[in-house]
Amino acid sequence: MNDPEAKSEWVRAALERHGGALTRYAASITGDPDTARDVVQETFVRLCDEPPARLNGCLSEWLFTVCRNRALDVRRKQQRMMPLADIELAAEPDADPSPASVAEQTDTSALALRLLRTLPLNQQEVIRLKFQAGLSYEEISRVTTLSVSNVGFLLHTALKTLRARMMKALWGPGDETE
Amino acid sequence: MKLNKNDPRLTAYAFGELPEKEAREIEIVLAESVEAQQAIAETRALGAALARGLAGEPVPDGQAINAAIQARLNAAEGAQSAPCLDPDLVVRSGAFAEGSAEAERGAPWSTHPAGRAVSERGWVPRGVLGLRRWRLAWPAWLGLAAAASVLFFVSGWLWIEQPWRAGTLLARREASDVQAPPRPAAAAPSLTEARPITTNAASESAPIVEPVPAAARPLAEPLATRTTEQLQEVQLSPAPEVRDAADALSRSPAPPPELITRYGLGPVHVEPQAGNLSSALGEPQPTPAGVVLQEEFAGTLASADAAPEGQTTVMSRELTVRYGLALMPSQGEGLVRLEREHRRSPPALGDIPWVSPLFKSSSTRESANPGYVDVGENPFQPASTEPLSTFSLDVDTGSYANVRRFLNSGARPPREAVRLEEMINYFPYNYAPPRADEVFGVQIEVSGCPWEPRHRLVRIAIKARDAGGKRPPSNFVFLVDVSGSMEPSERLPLLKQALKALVKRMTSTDRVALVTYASSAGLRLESTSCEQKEKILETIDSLEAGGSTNGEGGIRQAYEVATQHFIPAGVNRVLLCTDGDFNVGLSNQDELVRLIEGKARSGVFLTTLGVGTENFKDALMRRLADRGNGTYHYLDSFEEAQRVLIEQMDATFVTVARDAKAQVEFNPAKVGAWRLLGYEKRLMAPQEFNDDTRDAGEIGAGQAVTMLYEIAAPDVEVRGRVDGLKYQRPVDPAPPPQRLVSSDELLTLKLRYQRPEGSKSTLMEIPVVDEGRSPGACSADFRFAAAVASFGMLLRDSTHRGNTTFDSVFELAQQGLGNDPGGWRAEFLTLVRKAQRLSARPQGAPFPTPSSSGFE
Repeated sequence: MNDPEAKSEWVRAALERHGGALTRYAASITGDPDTARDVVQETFVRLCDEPPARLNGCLSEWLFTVCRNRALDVRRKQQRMMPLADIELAAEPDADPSPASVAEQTDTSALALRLLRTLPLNQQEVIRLKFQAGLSYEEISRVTTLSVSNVGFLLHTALKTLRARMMKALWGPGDETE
Repeated sequence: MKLNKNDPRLTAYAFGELPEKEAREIEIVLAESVEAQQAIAETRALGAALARGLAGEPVPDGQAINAAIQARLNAAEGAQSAPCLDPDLVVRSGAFAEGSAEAERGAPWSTHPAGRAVSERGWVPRGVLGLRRWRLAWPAWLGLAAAASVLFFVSGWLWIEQPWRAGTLLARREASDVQAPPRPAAAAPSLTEARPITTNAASESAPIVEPVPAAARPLAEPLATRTTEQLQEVQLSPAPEVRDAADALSRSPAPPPELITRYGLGPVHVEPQAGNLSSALGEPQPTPAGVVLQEEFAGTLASADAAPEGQTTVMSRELTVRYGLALMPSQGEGLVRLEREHRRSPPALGDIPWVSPLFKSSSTRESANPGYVDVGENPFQPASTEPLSTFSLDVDTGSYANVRRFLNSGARPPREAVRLEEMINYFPYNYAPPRADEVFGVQIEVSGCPWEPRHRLVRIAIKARDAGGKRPPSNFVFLVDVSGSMEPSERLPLLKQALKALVKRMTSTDRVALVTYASSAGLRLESTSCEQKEKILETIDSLEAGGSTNGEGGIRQAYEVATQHFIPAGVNRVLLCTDGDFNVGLSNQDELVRLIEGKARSGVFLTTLGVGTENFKDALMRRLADRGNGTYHYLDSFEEAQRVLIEQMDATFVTVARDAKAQVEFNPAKVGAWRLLGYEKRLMAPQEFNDDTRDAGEIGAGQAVTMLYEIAAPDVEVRGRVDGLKYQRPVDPAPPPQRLVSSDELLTLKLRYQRPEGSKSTLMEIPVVDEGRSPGACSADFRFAAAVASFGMLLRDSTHRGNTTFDSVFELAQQGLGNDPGGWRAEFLTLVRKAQRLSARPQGAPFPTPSSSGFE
């Protein structure tokens, strides 16, 4: 695509379609919306140099890979956390629900979201890539360098745990919202 | 095969990620195991909830990114030379080494995975716009979101009231009771700004708030604490409908008490506060900067206004409070539309749902999709004052395929997806073809009504002339949506298969062009003679999904190509293949429809082929096809594509009559009241029948149209008859409105249509006499059509379903099986059983104990 106008339209469409998901994804890795924005900005600036034809059909995958690499890099520099794969144990659900979580309980998806944060980080990541970015198993596998079956296992486990926790949060015994 | 709950393949299957062979294996287990179906449905619902939640997460300001990209692009434009590297950027993006190296190797990008895209929101969620410039820090965002949901919670609560009458209150919790959390400090500014809205809502609804016992607070109570007794304590004010509803609920066999207890279910309808709403509808209220909810709501109102006149877009009425509130912050559409629905018709008793707690399986989610438009249901009309039934003869069949998809995926279809006439007309019937010189053959049968013994059922069967084995030369333009949402295997890959199958059937006199659209529209293949089939097939094969959807650009271009290669007296058609998610360009439906309407005058007709589930805009697709002088088909499988495009190629593409309308006049001496089953969207005013400028349905070669009328003799009561008037007394004896003409005829059918090339319309008139045929003496086609209709009524929970049960539908369909060449009727039987199983068990219930089936 030599036409600069078409190219710019292409980048803009990509930004419109993926910008939000990328920023949220990056923020989930860096833990900070400002750095996330920088990461996404750099991702798209890189995209400006890519020939669209080469990314035809795998644009989102490309964007998420570049974004992930960059975000992990930023995080490593910030020395804030351990790499994703090293963290296996989940943070425990808040014992004392914050006002925010009470309010969120009015909303199934907000509840799902809140409980999502109680999952191990590697599970959270595949959930985000699947449901926020809309990537397929194969794409997630290539973005995260995990095997497809590993992705499938992580997603299945994550969703099963979430389902159980939602049931519990909604009406299970020892309801923490009581 | 045995399946374990812990098998990741279940989840992979739920999201369409399994290879076909494995998916089949899972399906075999699924067919036998309701629990496995349940697991799939819940997993999908959870996926949807997550996608919704994640899409609603705040996004930091996108302006900076935009600016940076613009600068980058400008730089590239300015210096047309090789990669222009801004030193600053090099430094800043130096860490991309990994990504870029991989990209250069090309390896990770070389394949094109088939996956399932989740619908995404735009760059900045609507509603956050007003806040964007504040550039709040992350924690502030969270606080703000929390505060917003509390506010919504409160105002949403105030909107929960009995829909039918002001002052009628099902159950209400006073605002002060809501567990309002301490205000997060970070969000304080917005709370200050937002408060007027809450007070507003409160004050507007205040006069109709009635105190209720504490036990009757269905909403904010943690669900687990509620018991059946508490539910029954729900205070009902004395509006008769509500009492009926309560009675019906207590009589209803449906929720077993322990389920109520567990789920905290109640017959509470979610409804926006009426005054609030109408003022908002009248003139958009100014949006105070920084008020998330208001902005969200205003945006939704605008889209509600854009809905075509007379159409009512609803979310499923099957909303629990929990679910309704769950939807509010992200999908406010529900509020407005629910309101409209109730204004139209009070909900039938059967509609009052008791719904699963967590999520009402995928069907609720999908019915919450504003793409469905509930067509309502034709009521009984008195023949004395309303003797004419006029409607357009369209024969879309999309609804049945869609219903089938729902049932096969283990969910009951939302009622608004069930359209009787489209289900009835889906099936081939053994109708006699017309005489040589006529376009339509008509056959009319009157017999007992299977679901209401006191009524009669009239079946009017119309069969169009077939193409006589010769299809005129065709000029097809395939207009294919290749946007990102088309990526899942049941979308673009399915369409590619379908189009290839169609091309293989075409002959050397036919031409095919291929236009694609995503972010921008493009001509992929000039109009090419089908002598070069290989080239056409290769081009179709090369299609891949990616980008947003500019439907409008594509439609313009496709018509242009079709007009350039117009074949006089041939078939000139644009085939629009999409999931209907137009999000760039002319997204305003009305404008899009006007565009199509204008293009249809050129003689190029439009067929719409719909695929996909999540973004699927059923109503839009149908509307486009109607206005484009064509038909709409929903392709849920390759088999369906073959049926539509190959087996019924002539019917799909060769039009034998345009603007076909029917008008039935009932004889009040024989008919007390009548009711047309289905065709709700096709009704016309009586005077439009003789008006040739009024657009109506197109009928394809060999196509059959079936209409069913349920009629009651003058002395037989019908459901829904209006009470006597209070301020008018009938003069005794009531003078007939006009002198009745003595006649033995039951009714007269009139058909009017134009030839495809357009001309003056032709009129056919057929009088009908009821020969008193008993229910046992009717034809197989009659039985089958009646079975399909009653199945549709069951799925819609119709008030007119009489004594229909799934078993009676099954039996009737079995008697009507007749000669079933394509096996379609047999398939219908399996669907009836599936629906029966789904209805027997509450949706969304947790796993029962492992059964003896293959799922454990």
